[in-house]
Amino acid sequence: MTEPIIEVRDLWHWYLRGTPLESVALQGASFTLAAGEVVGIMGHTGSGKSTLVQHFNGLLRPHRGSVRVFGSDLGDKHVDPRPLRRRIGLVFQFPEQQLFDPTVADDIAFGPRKLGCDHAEVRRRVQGAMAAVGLPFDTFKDRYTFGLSGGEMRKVALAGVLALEPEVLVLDEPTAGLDPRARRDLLNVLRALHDERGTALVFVSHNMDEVAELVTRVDVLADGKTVMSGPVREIFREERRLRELGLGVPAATELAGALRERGVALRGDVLTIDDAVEAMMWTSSSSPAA
Amino acid sequence: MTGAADALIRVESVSVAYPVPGGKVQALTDVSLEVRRGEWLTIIGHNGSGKSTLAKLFNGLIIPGRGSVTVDGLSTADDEQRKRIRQIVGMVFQDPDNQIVATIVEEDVAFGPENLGLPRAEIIERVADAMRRLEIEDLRQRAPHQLSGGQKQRVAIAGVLAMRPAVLVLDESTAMLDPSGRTEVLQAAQALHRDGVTIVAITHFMGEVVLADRVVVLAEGRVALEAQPRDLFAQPERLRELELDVPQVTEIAARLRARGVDVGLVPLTVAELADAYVRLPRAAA
Repeated sequence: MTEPIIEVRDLWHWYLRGTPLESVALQGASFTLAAGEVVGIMGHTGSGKSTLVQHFNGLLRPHRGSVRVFGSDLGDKHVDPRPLRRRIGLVFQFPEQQLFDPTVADDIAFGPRKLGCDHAEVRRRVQGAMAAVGLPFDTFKDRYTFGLSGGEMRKVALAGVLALEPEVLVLDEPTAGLDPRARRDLLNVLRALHDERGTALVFVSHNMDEVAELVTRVDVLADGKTVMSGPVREIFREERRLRELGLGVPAATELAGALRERGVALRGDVLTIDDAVEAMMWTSSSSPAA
Repeated sequence: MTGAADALIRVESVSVAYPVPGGKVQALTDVSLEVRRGEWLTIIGHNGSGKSTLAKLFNGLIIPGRGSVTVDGLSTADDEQRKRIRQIVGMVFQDPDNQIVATIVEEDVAFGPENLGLPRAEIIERVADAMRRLEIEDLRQRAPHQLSGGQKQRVAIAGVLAMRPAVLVLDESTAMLDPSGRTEVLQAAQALHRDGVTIVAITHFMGEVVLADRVVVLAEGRVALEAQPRDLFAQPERLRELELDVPQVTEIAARLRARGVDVGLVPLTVAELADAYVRLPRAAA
C-alpha cells in the first residue's frame, strides 16, 4: 500500500487554550486519506469537523498527537505549511462570503497570480477551473460576483481553489444553503473532478443523502473524537448509533428499514434512490408469484 | 371565514430591486400573495428567486419600491406601525450565531420583551412560557456557545416567541443544522403551529415542504406555482424546470411507477410509501 497523503493520529486541539474560556475542540481524532480517495466526515454541529480539516493544510497546528501531510510533520513548528496549500485545497463553509474581486475571472485568478504564474498560465488555470465547475468562460469572466446567484457564487469560490490545481480538495459543507439543482450540479462537479482528474476529495457534511451518493468511506466525529470509521455501506447500517450521535441515515435507507419492519425482504444495503428502486423492483417481481 | 377575511399578511403587486455596480437587480416583480391566519405556508424557489427578499417584506425589514405589504391591516411602509408589525411577525434566520445577543440563554429570551418595556412580572411569565414551549428550560443558565446548533436555534425561536407573534417566519432556519438539530427545530415549529401560530417557512429541503398546508414557488422574482404539497410533488418535471426537486420518497415512487410498479399515490413520507408498497398484491414476502 502506498503511504497515505494525510495521516492524523490521536489529534487534540483546544481553543483559547490557557484562558478561563478554554474549550477542547478535538480530543482523539484520527483520519487517513490515500491518493484519489473520496472520504466523508460526518458529525453533529460542534463535533470538531471544521477544526479537524483545518489541520490538513497547516491552518491549525496540532496541540497533541500527529498530523502528517505529504510526508511533512505538521507538529514540527519548523515545517512551513505554505507549500502544502497548493496541494490541499480547502473550501470553507459559505465560501462565497470570501469573494472579494469585483469580477469572476479576477477573483479566480487571485490564487494563481499569488503563486507567481505568468499571464498565459493564469489564463489557462482560470479557464480550466471555470470549465470544471461548469461556468462558461466567455459568459462569466467579466460578470460582477455581486450579481450572481448563490449557486454561481459558490462555484466561483470553488473555482478559485481549483485554480491552484490541488491534488486534494477538502470541502466543508459545500452544499449548505444551495437549492436542489445547484446541489446536484455541485455534486456532479465533484464527482467529475475525482473521476476525470483523480482529485482526492474530503467531503464534510451532515447531509446523509449526499454522503451516501458521493463517498466510499466515512469517518464519524462526536465531541472531538473519531467514533466510527469504515466503508459508507457499513456505517449506514448502524442507524441507531448514528441517531444517538445526532446524525441519521439517507432517506432511502430509512425507507428500506420501514419496509423491513413491515415484513418485506429486501436484498443488500440500500443507500441511494437507485438502490431503493432496484431492491423494491426485485422484491416485487420475485415475491410469492415467483 | 374564507379568502380575504382571514389574510394576516397581504402582499399586493410588489416589486423590489437592489442596486448593484453598473445597474440593478430585480429581486421581485409584481408579486401578490397572502399569508392566512393559522396556516403553515412554505416558500421555495432556486437561489436568487427572491425568497429571502419576500420574507424581509413581511415585517418591514424591506419596504417595497412598488406595491404594498400589510400585516393585520397595518402598512409596513408606515414608520409609526413598524414596531407593532415586528411584534406580530417574528423572524428566525439561518445562522443561530448571528441571532443570539446575550451571554445566558434566559437573558437572550428576555431581550425582546425587555425592549417592549413590559412590566417585570410579565417578562418573567413570557420567558418561562417561551422556554417551556421550546423545551429549553434545562438550558436557561447555559451560555449560548455551549449549545448545539438545534438548541441555539430553539433559543432564537423562544426569543421571538416571547414577543407573542402571530406569525413565525423561519428563513432557512434549518439550513445549517445537523439531522437531529433539524428534527428538533421542525418539531418545535409543528408544536407552535398546533397551538395556533401561523408559520411561514422558507427552505431548500424538499423533505420539509411536506409539513406545509400550502406551498408557494418563486422563480425569477415571480410566483410560479401555488399548490398543496402533494399536488406540487405530482409535477416533478415542472419542479425541475424551476430548479427544484421532489422528496426522495416521491422520486422513488415515480421511478417504480415508470417501471410498472405503481403504489397508487404520490407519497410524501417514508411511512406513506412503505404502507402503500406492502399493500401491493405481489410485494408481500
